[in-house]
Amino acid sequence: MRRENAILLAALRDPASMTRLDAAGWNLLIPSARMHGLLARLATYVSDADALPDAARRQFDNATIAAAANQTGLRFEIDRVARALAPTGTRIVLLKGGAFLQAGLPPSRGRSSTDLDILVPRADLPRVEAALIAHGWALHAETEYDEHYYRDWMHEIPPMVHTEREAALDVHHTIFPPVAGIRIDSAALLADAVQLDGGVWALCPTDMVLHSAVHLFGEDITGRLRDLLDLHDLLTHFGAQPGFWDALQARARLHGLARPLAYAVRYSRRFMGTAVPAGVGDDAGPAMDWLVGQALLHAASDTPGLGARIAQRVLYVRGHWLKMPTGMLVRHLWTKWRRREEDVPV
Amino acid sequence: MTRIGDYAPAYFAALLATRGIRLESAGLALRLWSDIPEIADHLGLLYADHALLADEGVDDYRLRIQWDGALQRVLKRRVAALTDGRPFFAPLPRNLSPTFVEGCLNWSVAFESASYVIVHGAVVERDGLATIMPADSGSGKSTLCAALAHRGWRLLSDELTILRPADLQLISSARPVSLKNAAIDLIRGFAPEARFGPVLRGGTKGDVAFMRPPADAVMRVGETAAPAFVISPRYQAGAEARLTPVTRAEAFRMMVDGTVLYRTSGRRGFETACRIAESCPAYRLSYSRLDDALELIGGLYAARRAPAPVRAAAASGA
Amino acid sequence: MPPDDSDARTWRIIHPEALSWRCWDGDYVIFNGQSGLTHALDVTAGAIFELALRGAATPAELQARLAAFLGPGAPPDLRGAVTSTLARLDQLGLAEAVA
Repeated sequence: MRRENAILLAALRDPASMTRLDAAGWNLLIPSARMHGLLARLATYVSDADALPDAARRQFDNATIAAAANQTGLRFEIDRVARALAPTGTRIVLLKGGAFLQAGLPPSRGRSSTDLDILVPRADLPRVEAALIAHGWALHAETEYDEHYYRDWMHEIPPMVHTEREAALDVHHTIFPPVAGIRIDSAALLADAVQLDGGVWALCPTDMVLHSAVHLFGEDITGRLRDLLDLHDLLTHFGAQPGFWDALQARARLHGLARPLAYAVRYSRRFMGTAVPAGVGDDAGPAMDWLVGQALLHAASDTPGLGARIAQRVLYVRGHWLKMPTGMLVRHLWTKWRRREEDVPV
Repeated sequence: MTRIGDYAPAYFAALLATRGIRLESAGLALRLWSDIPEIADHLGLLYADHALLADEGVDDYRLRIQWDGALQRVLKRRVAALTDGRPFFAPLPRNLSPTFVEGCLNWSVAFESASYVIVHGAVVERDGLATIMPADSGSGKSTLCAALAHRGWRLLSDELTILRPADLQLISSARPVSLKNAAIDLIRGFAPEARFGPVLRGGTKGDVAFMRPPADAVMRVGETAAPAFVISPRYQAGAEARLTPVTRAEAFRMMVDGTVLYRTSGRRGFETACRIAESCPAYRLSYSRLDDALELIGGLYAARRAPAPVRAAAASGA
Repeated sequence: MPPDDSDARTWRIIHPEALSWRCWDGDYVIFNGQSGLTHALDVTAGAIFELALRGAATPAELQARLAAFLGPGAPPDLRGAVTSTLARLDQLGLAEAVA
């Protein structure tokens, strides 16, 4: 494993190791952590900021302030969405970062989110969409092709954005499309959701872990160490509850998520040292281990090795395969690549 | 203390391509590596008076400017800039690559939300009084700033107004001033003693050249300055120079609209903009001739040396 | 639900302790720590905002406070100004109806 990855993982698993870093070590840790969006998280582990090298303290502080501002905005968006949808009577289940924040769960420490994701009953989608539009949100499908992709293929409302605040909102009715043996029981997700403050809900612990697992291993995993860390935090936090692991595996079978769960548990233990009971998550071979390691961590090096680039391409295709049959895959990827070529990055 | 200009050019280029160099800017430690000749030339000429930091130390950012991939190492036509190992900008043709240095340094400072509130705009200082010029590209702020820097004002920056919230002091970076198209020759004529890097042709906004910051400004880079005036400049061909006072609310708006990462700066960004609006008379300046603009600005400074009337206190909350 | 002319609900400023604001010659600027957003209000909307800060009130009460505040020079449609300002403050997350 490349040294900067080892240092970053060590810092996450054993924050005290940061006190033993020399300048060269910090010069590997800071860029790597910043690349993975983990500077603010590492900052939460620091008890004596004055003992840090100046540059480390500055970069930790910058990231902490940025994360705090992001969380303020997210909390406000949750409040605004709850108020806009209250008259519809629908159950609003927060997903991912929004849920972690509102529920005060460990993954929320030092975390920034790009958008707010919510889950509502599929039957409520039309009036949810109408209520949001009445309160200043607008649909954000970039092209007709995108809108077709979302509505007709994924059966979702296209992503929404609040016209004045420019905040992104994704409204889901399920957490994964029905492919590759996966059959999410949305009714169960909603029925077993846990109520939070502010008129919103979160997935129950097993569903939250499973969502995190399929969100990571059902998609392109390149550079997504932070999402693995979320998984580790959830497994550690909920894993302490009696009966959790049995319930988790049973729930995985209900939703057809046994395979993503197995990967999630295996790689959370492998990279983050998650305490996992014996017999859970042994479902992958050494080739997969190599691919995952390369892709998950590769982004943090100055010159990505050939191995990392190969792994990234394979896993990127794999992520999409889980979502769509092969015929659609090529057209969709081609459209994305063509659009990326026309993009002029700033 | 070693300055970049202390090194022979060939040695400096070799150093830059192997160990790299460490520069300080606005209190940040920035490490740069590059094996691109144009980058070594840019730094060697335009940063000649800037001091280097010791080789060992923890860096805020590590910047690598290199050929964009294996094929380019042979063709030597396209250059990439990597921060944290990742490209932040799209690759550029070789001759435009010096803009990476300025762009990356600007962004490195822009993210310093913990230490500063940063506004997109120029800052110059004279007699202990600083003028902030919040403005977008095309306003002529860099041209005006370059002119002021050669007529008795000290250059702090042509691009980044760096405010320290605790005491509202302005931090200097004294870096090269970017001039475009006609402004290049205009300033060459206005200040014949100014030194320029090569004209970089073919960029999206036309020709760009960087003007070396006056040595005195670089020597005094550690000296902060107190904000005294806010002037939003607008170059208008044929316009008679005019300085129009604006309200505190407009001054506040100028500051907020120009604040980089304003949402991240939160209440501190708001309070900083308020304090500037309340303590600094603010104006719009339209001009076509540099001499006229400088005369008007000079007039503000001269009037300031006379005692000013006390303003009525504003209503406020929290 | 936004207010209309028949609105008799009590309105209040949300989390006033999280706000920082200034008034300069009738121009109001407000920072809301709950949202991280900054807003500019004109003199009428700003005055209504400031009057609402003094205590929860119905639109009719705010209209009365505003009339007293502005004195003889008050513009004609104060009720309209109160209604539209409350609607705007509601949209911005600065005010809410409580009853």
